[in-house]
Amino acid sequence: MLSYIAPSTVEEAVSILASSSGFAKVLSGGTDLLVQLRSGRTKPDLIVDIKRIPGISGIRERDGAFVIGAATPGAVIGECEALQQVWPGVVEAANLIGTSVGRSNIGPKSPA
Amino acid sequence: MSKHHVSITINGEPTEFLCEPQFTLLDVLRDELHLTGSKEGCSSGDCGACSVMVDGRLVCSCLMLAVEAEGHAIETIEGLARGKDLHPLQRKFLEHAALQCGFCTPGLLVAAKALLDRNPNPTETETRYWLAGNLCRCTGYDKVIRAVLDAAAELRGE
Repeated sequence: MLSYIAPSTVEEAVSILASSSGFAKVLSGGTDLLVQLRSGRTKPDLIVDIKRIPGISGIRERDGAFVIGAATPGAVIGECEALQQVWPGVVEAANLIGTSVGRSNIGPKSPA
Repeated sequence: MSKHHVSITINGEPTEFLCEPQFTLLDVLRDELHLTGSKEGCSSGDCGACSVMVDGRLVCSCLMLAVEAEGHAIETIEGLARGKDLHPLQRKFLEHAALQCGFCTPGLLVAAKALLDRNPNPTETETRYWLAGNLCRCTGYDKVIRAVLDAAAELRGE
């Protein structure tokens, strides 16, 4: 029996994962997990969706650097003009991963 | 199995449904809400037949759990036409015969709309790159590209 939870803080997510008695998987964009779930390659008891945690998705400038949140979709990287100015290679690389459809789900498309 | 209560808007209409956690957004759109325009092709995010918009972004609805959609605005192919008035993209697909079996067409139209919303004047190369995630085994793509570029010109008032 599969359960789903979308915690709103990192602490909550960590505590849920630490106290889970069954097999738990972290979900962000779903390009890996949903394909594995669908094909029966993974059978988790719990899915912990981290996208509702503020700040885990999106790009921020801090101390002269860019912080790209772990759950940032590739499409958001592709659209970030400030990042494009300074790190055009990073943006170009993100735009070459998968396709326009998959990049909004997240990062590297799998298994493609 | 515990069901989740999910509230979303679909094509501007507030909608609620109950679903089990393993169901994808595509499963719920088709089987629960009877919006069968979005198609299930590969179930792995490769073919684009299930393309929908989530908060203005193009996504594979087969790669998103229905529970993840909570609070989001979903747009599907069913929202493209206004009543009996087809969207220019739909009209141009018909004029250019940009489809044969039609299975990929809803996904291609949603993806093309997403492109033109962002870039009203795309080049042929940009259009081909953007639509690379929508596979069509009938047309060979040329007619699709011509239809999208023609619709873009019409939407720009040319």
